[in-house]
Amino acid sequence: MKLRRRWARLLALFQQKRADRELRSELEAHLELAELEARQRGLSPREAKRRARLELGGVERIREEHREARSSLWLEHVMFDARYALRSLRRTPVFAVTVVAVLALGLGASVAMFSVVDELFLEKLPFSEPDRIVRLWKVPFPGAINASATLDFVDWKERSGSFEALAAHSGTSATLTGLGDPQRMRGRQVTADYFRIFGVEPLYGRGFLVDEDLPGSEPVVLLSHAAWRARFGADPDVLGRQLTLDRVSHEVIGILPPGVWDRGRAEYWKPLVFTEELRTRGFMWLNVVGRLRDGVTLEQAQEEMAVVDAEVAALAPTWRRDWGLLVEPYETRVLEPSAGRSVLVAFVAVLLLLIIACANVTNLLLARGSARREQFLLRAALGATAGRLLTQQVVEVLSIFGLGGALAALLASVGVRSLEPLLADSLPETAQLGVDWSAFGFGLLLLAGSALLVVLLPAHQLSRQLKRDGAHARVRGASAVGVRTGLVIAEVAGSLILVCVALLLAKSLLRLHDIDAGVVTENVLSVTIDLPLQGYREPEDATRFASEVLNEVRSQAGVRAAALATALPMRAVDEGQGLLPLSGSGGLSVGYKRVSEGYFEALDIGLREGRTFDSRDVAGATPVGIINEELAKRIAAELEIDDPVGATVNISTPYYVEKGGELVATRIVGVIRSEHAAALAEANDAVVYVPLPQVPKRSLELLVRTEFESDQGARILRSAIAAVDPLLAFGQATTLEEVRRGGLQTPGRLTGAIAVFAGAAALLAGLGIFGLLSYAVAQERRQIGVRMALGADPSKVLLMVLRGGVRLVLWGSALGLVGTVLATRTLRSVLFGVSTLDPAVLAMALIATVVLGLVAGLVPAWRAARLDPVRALRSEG
Amino acid sequence: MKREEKKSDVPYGTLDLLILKSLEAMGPMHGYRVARRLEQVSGNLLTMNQGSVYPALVRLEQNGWISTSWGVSETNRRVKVYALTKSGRSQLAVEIERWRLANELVDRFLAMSS
Repeated sequence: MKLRRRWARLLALFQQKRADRELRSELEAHLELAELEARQRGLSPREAKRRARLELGGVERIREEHREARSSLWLEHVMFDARYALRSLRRTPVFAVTVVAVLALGLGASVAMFSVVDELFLEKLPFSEPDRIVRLWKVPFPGAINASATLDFVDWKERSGSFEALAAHSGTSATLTGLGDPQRMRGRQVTADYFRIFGVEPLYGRGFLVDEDLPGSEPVVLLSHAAWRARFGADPDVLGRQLTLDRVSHEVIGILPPGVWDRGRAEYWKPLVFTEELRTRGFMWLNVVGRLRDGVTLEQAQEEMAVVDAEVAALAPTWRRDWGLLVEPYETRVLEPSAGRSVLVAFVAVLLLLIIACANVTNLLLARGSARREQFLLRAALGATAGRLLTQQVVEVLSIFGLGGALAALLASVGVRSLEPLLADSLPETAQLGVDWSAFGFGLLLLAGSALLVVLLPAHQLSRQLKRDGAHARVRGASAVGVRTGLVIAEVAGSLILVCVALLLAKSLLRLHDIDAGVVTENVLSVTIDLPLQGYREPEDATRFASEVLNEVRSQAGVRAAALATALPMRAVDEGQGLLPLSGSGGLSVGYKRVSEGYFEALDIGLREGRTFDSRDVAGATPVGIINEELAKRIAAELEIDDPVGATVNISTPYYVEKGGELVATRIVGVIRSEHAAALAEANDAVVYVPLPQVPKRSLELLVRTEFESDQGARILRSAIAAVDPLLAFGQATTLEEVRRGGLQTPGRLTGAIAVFAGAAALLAGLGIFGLLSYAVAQERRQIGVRMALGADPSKVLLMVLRGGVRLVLWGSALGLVGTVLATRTLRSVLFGVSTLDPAVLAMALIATVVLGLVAGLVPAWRAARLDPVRALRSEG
Repeated sequence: MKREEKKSDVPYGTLDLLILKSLEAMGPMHGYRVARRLEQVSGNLLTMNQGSVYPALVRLEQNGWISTSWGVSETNRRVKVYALTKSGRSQLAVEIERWRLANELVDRFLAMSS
């Protein structure tokens, strides 16, 4: 009651207006009463009123004095209590520093992680009305998505009514010449209303005109803000200039605004022109995006498009007539799934760490509270009111949290800034990372709130006790010890979970490193080449280039082997085609990789059956293909061809210039031992290899294997390419080792981060055990002293205390194991080759935790065992 | 414990004691009644504005010596009713003791010099 009133008064002091109002009404009541009495004494109403006012005195002065009495005393007390609190914090620097550090780390790390999670999962896309932006996919079978054909897109656009705009886009790249060395630029071809869907206007210049994507229009480009700055030094005169891309002159008509469009890979955008040869249904190459009409829901659009696409699909080639159509929110696929999973796991780990940190702070405050109970009772007996004692504690908590909070804010912003480059590769182009300050405020409030509760509850108990027993109140009851034991057990459980997660991830990472990629990665260098259509208009042009560049490279000193391919090993094969039986129904969608002769030999990819490609496999000869083991398995299972070598299947084979392709009866001549044809952390893909000369392509990877480790590789490649075509640009040279490491980066970083969290959690749990046992030993000094005086062996005392520690650890571990079983389920998708209940990992984590308990208990146990019985007995228990 | 030191520089020295004593004698009262009670008991010895009781009351309340609750006045208005608390009761005893001591001391000096 008294405490509540005191608290209410503290609050009321922040509400001067209310206090003034109350005084005013009190004075009015006073005047009324005085007037009433004066009238009863026989005074005239007017005289009564005058007398009442006179006797009360100046209202303004009373109000002034009242205000002064109200606040000065309070302020004085607060200042005094605050100084006292700060002094007492300074006297216990270890406590203060520990709490501040725990707060800063726990809150800082979790807010940084939350900011990332929030941006990636919760935040709306930075476009106008992002909910109305959708993607359209063809669906070969449930769960899979596929790009769309030109004519399908054209028909959708014509027949559907759900969209304000529907646009198609496709990635492209080009060689920029005329500005120093030839440079390779990535870009995107888009239909004219593409930017309308996102509500984006160029920062300078203009966007594409409606008819600029029609055949015969003048070639124009838009530049990203980043490309404009990086390649043209933000020169405003670039507008209107002609850029030579793939030997064709393009006018720069606009620069996009900075931000979202800088993060993607594209540096330029140009109109996607559907020339006659592109207008087919055979080639699935378009990404389709749309903006829903105002008021149209996703479901309505999906329903309408299902009907529209059913009509359109009737015109499609037989092999995809039964494909469905999916309309999905644009944001669904913005985040790369593996990056998303890693961020989520890290976030959960951080949450766990935050909970442990919170438990630890609570524990420390409780311990401090119990230790100071006596001191408080003494001060209470000397006349300090419960309210004053409370003020002191509140000030103490607030100053700790002020300091901890400031450090946490610093840490959070540093954390986000250092997370950004780590995540840069896997971040969606729309992400704009920054500390989420509302989350920070929320976290701080939550922590401060729980700490205040922890401080106020015992203080309330104390004040009740004081009220009942007055100055005779004694230190009694160790109710806090129960709570503290519970907290320590929870900390041990939490840290066990984190240690398990860290160990599982580490083991998974080791497995990933051990994966046999199926290829030689030492001393192999690769570089991407794009042959422009101008100069390489016929398939023979590309084939001639391929054989000349290979001859040129192979003739260089130190080169052991060279080959061309359309995709690098350990990277996803991004070209897919259909593989069908010659007759009957069914068919597979498979990875499609074109390689030159000598590819398998250059990378030491072994042959399981049949033969590799050689000089026989040229244009005009029998079309042949080689499959990997994954595909052999799928062919056996789904097409019932058990002995693939020698079998002939239909493969949809792309044309050289035009989009689209035709079914070509292809004989399978070999089965290779698998090279890993996907990122190492991902499952291997089923792939068919075809000889490059039979199906030439203008975008190629040139690989060279040198005799020894040499930094000459890049020079060799450069001079060989220049010797064949001096106008060609090529990208950055990459070693296969880099490709390999690149695939392991995300899991590696995740493991590292979790390991740090787990270490911090274990440290905190250890501190918790240490604190609790030290406290228990201090409390039982006298009892231990009595035992020792009666002849107890110091080693027994030591064991007794240690047993206490181990008991805490065992309870915590039991709880933690249950938690681990539940928590690691979510890990399944990020683990590679490790069961979530790996017994070795669980055993190791358990042992580590028990050792932690023993180590944490050792110091207090040692202290107890070395207790001098005489001094212990003399001291006030 | 800080109060005692402050006392001397509070100009209305014994006001706290008088208010506490009034509340002890009469039970819970509102502000006007407290002021009237002081006037009645002191006769005309005390020359003070009735309004001075309000700053004194808030000070006593902040020290936890009196408590407030809401009541209704004779004119049917919501007013604050002040009551002596347990610690106020013991404070009253302390103040009375101090007053007696001080009185005794001054009396002795006065007796000596005459």
